[in-house]
Amino acid sequence: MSGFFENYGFLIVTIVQQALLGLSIYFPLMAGQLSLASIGFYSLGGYVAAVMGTHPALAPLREALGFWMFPLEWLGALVLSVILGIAVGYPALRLRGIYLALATVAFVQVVNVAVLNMPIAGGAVGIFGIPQAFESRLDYIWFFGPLFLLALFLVWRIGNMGRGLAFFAVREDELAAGAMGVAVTGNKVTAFVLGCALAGVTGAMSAPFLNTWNARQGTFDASVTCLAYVLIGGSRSIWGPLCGAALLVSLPELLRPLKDSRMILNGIVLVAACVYLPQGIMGGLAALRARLSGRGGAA
Amino acid sequence: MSALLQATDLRRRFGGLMAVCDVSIEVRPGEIMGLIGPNGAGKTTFFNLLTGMTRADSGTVVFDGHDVTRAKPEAIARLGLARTFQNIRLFGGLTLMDNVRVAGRVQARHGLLSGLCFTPGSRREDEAVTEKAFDLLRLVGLEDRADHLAASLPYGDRRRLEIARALALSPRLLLLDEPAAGLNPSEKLGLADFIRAIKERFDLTVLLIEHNVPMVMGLCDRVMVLNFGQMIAVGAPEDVQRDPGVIEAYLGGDAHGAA
Ligand SMILES: Nc1ncnc2c1ncn2[C@@H]1O[C@H](COP(=O)(O)OP(=O)(O)OP(=O)(O)O)[C@@H](O)[C@H]1O
Ligand SMILES: [Mg+2]
Repeated sequence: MSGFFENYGFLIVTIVQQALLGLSIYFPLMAGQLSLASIGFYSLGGYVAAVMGTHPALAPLREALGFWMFPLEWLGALVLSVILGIAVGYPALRLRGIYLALATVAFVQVVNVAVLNMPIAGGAVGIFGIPQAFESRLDYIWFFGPLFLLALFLVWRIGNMGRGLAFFAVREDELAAGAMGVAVTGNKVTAFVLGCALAGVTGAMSAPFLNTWNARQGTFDASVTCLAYVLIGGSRSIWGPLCGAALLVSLPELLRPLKDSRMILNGIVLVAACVYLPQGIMGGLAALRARLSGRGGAA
Repeated sequence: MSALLQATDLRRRFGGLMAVCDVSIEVRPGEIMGLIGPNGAGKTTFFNLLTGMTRADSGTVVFDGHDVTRAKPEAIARLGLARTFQNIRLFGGLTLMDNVRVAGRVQARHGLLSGLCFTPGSRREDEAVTEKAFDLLRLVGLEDRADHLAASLPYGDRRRLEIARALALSPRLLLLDEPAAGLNPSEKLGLADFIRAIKERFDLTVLLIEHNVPMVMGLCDRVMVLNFGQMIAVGAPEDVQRDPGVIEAYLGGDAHGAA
């Protein structure tokens, strides 16, 4: 058993970490907003933690706080993400559908170029030697695990309480939602900022986990990967992001024995998932369960 | 005495087309007012102007003492102005119950945080909203399908659900955009009685767009007529029906057949 964790511990923690990014896209999707901005906030959150963890000027603070420096880094990333999320969200969420997606992709690029040119972020090399919170990588589950449970709780609770209906109303029909007294812009921004905050804190936890942090953490490729977690896992189930992250993170590992042909098979599995499970894995399971129990039910 | 809704010189143009041209009207508390006019006369645009969904080029709208000319739709809805849509806009992916609950939360005071913390206040509020939504579903006869998705409803039932949803706002003024469109004859007959009943029960003022002349004549206290964006007549149904301008513009030959 301990051998299993030694081999796969890093993989498991990575799945949870990536599932967090998937969930951060799931929040704005609850209000019908397709945003790819998460990875930009993830990158910024990581830089906040990397700078706070390594900058010489903060050495006395780190001495004084010890392990509590890590929660302080999360808090820093959280505050920055919320402020920036509101500042970006209000103008960007006036755009709809594909235009919003494009605007958020542009935001990710802006963040990327900005950090590459900020001396404090270490340029292209980035920041390395970020202090570790734990000896073993597996122990980082104590960071990501509780955050994941918290995020899952938020998604579940919002979906089950009266106030959460406003998000879904905006998703279903903005115009009708407004006519029914729902503050359309306010709800879009709230859902968006929840996602930004989650991505930012995930970044702050990831910087020590990965030991180094640079602009490669916040690329367009990474944004699309996060979106794929949600689409492949299922965008209407709270388990969708975890499912998608588990599949997409572990697939290349599981196929490793196949050597070079594994990336081809990897691609085939993903295309097949898109074609045969348009509602994602969770959507497919729900449909299957409905069929087995012999009645049409809602997902 | 004083008007519940007052539109003054309301105007809206789409490119070269004058959709609503300097329309002024007062809707008095407690009346059922009809709005008729040929296709493309600007009736729906007039509703959109009143509810903040289309910006007026000029003119003002005062509802219940508030100038709402530039207000957002949600702010107007919260003041107690509810509407239905000509082309029915339900929240298709939500249950019937949730469709009504969305609107029922219009006066809710407990927000995201207190809901996330399971405060007793937010729970009581959710329960009250649910109970009221169930009553409204029963009123329109859809309570047995409360947990079905709105998208699964047949056409006539969608119209009824949309009215229930509008009523959940506890409105003072209800705007109905062609509520009888697409209903079968027996449903149409029932509709006039239903509108009268909800008007009494909820102390409503109603403004409704309708093409069905006998229904308008039997139901409405007053009727206003739009043609090419202009209001060409307003008054008691009998007077409007006899107005030569109206006969020419709209009622035309089939007025005799209908009356
Ligand atoms: N958003 C818009 N952009 C451009 N033109 C519009 C728009 N909305 C309405 N119009 C035009 O304005 C005119 C009035 O339309 P409106 O929908 O208000 O008519 P209506 O009286 O409700 O007609 P109907 O009985 O067919 O529902 C029409 O010529 C319509 O094509
Ligand atoms: Mg119309």
